[in-house]
Amino acid sequence: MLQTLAQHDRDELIAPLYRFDRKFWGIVAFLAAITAPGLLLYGRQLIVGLGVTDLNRPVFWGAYLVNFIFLIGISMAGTVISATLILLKVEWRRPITRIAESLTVFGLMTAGLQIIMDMGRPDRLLFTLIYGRLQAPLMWDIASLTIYLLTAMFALYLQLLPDIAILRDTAPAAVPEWRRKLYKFLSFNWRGNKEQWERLEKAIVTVSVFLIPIGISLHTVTSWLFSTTVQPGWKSTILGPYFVVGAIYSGLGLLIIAMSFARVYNPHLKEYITEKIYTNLGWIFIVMSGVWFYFTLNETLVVTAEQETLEFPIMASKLFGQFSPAFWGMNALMIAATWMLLAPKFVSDKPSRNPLMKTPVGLSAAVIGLAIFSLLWLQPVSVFADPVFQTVFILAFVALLFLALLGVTKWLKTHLIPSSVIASSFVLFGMWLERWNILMPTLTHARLIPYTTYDPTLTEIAVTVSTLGILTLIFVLFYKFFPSISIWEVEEGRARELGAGD
Amino acid sequence: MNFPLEQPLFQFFYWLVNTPGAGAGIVALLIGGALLTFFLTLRWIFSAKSDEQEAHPYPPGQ
Amino acid sequence: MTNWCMVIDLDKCVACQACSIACRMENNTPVVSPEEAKNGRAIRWNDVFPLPVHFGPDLGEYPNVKTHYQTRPCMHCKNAPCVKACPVQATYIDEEGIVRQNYNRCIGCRFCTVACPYGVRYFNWYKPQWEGTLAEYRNPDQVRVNGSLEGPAVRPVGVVEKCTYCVHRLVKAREQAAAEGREFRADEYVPACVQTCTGKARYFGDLDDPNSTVSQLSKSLRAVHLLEDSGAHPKTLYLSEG
Repeated sequence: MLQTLAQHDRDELIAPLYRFDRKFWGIVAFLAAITAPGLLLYGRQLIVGLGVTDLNRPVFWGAYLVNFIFLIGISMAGTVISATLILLKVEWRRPITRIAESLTVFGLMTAGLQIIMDMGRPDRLLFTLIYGRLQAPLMWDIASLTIYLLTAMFALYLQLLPDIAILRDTAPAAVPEWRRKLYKFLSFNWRGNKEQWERLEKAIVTVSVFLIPIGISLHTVTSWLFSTTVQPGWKSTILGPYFVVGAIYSGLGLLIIAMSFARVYNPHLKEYITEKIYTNLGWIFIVMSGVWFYFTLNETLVVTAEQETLEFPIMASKLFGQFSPAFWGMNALMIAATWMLLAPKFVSDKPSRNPLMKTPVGLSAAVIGLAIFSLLWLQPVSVFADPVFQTVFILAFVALLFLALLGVTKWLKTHLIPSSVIASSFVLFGMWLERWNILMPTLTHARLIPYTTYDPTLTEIAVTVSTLGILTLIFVLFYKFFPSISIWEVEEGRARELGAGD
Repeated sequence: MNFPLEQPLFQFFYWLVNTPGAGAGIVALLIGGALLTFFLTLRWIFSAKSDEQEAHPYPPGQ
Repeated sequence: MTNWCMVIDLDKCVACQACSIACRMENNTPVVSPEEAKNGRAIRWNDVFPLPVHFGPDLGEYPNVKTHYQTRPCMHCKNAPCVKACPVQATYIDEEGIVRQNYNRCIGCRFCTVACPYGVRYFNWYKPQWEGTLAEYRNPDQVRVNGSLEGPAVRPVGVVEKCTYCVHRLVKAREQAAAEGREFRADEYVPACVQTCTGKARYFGDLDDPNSTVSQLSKSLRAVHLLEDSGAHPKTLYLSEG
């Protein structure tokens, strides 16, 4: 029986690798199309200079740096899921370790790109390796990022090795010669005898042990870029752990989106990436969102309560000023995401008699409310200027959000995977805003330069889109060459489950 | 209390963190060390004796 | 060793901005368009700005109007945050206490500009340009350190630049003294802003020499440093107003 199941795995996981159908080319073409404008505009930036961005004095860092921290954050997925779950010998991790590991590698690659795009003189990149000074926080980040990237690539390779050997041995006749050579080169002389397996497993465990502290070091070092400066708003000791928590949080979000994407692309994967995995990841997600909210409260509360003259204007710009849409938008997104994951656990499958719990009723109530809300917003004489009205409208907005969330709860309960994906995208967008809220308020509120604003230009927006395009493109292309599910791990898990041993 | 930088040890540390190139050297050492470790690990895995003819698609049980 | 220091007497400053212009002509800082300047891209190594900084000038009510201005060169900090942040030592403190910038090594990461609490470091967003014949009036003086040009040399695009206390004038004064076969004296050199100052509000000299004007003035009760709490140990001194 194991034999037939193994054959089944190979059919469904390996056969699509050689199928270059219209769906694949369509996705590649779409991704190339959204990537191209950003690359062209970046080319212009290379020629003209960083003036094509909206960066200025004192906002010397902008969207590129926000993207950098965000991408570093989402790259945490591999460390947390793969390494931690491997070390804890959690069985349900088997189908998702590959995707998690690879997201780390791709996230770090694109994060590195952001730094190069942000540099005024990318042609002098190698100067950091010739004249590098250890006192500069940027040097720590370069060291940490490089080592994390190399270790993550090594971990990914170790995971891939037995699967590449399977690919090498099972390649159909129609496979082009260069692809065969690639598999042959990458699998070297892996034969899968007992001792090789023992050594490989030892190596995987050891790399996993190292991967966790190296990953945490990268996230904290990235926060030190900011907290080692004397700028108010960044001089915070919690920034390091806050970045780590945010990284795990957004990393999980990207992992859920990526595995759902793989599932939609190749429907056979539904047998492997089951709803149980979504439920289990959902619990980790809920815990992380709790920790994240607590840290956000900590950061906000401490600065607000101490009322320090330099720090407080920056916090005030987040709470009530220029950055309040981003700050409260982030909080609303995170609350909605947490609700989407948590609320379905408390309701039953059966339709409710409460009209507010009926999806159409709840949603339409919220939509009508929002329509009235926006109509009032568009009035020529703003009613929002009145403080009492402001309070009424804030409360009404919160009530509408709650109404909408209540309305969709039953739908969420019955649609686990779409709800996880929506919650994950909310978290990803919210985490991008969080990084924006860390960087921008401090940069726009310099001490001896008048307060200023920063609105990303077309170049910065296009480059951001193109970065996400590149990330997805690498993901899609990589999984055209290698199976997106670790075949050997799944087979091992199945064998363990059936108690067959070997 | 003496100023720490009067001690040669701290003077060395100061030189280490402040000299352009010295930091790059340390980073290069770290990266090189990591790469060497990865290479040696791979060699160690691949050099496993292959007396047995059988091949396992996944780790054989104990 | 000499330890160069500037003292600015705010009681004497008339906010004429002559220092700002002198600095521009002396150090070849590029001119930017009004739109760019509005967007915070103007490069003024020696800025003159109204106080309070953040919510516009506080003029008072007519007829009792009053304005306060402050002029700000680089502080040439003893514990400069920019120098600590630079990953390639493109900015460094030389033996005479001047914080300098190596345009040929700067990678344009803008860490120093973010780290500086005073905002006295500027980035070249575009290739520097001069309108019309202005380019013909550029300062030809050169300071060469290990083969790379510093000070007033025309900067390439994408690097950071800053006030150098007119270090090329120091080099020239030294060369002059050497050519005349005599010892260089600390009072032979002043930056352009000090030389041009309308109200004679600026003093320049050697802080380590107990008899120099600057070290006498540094003992004044009016002597203050800007943002002393930043921990950067700024060296440029202000004699406070009033």
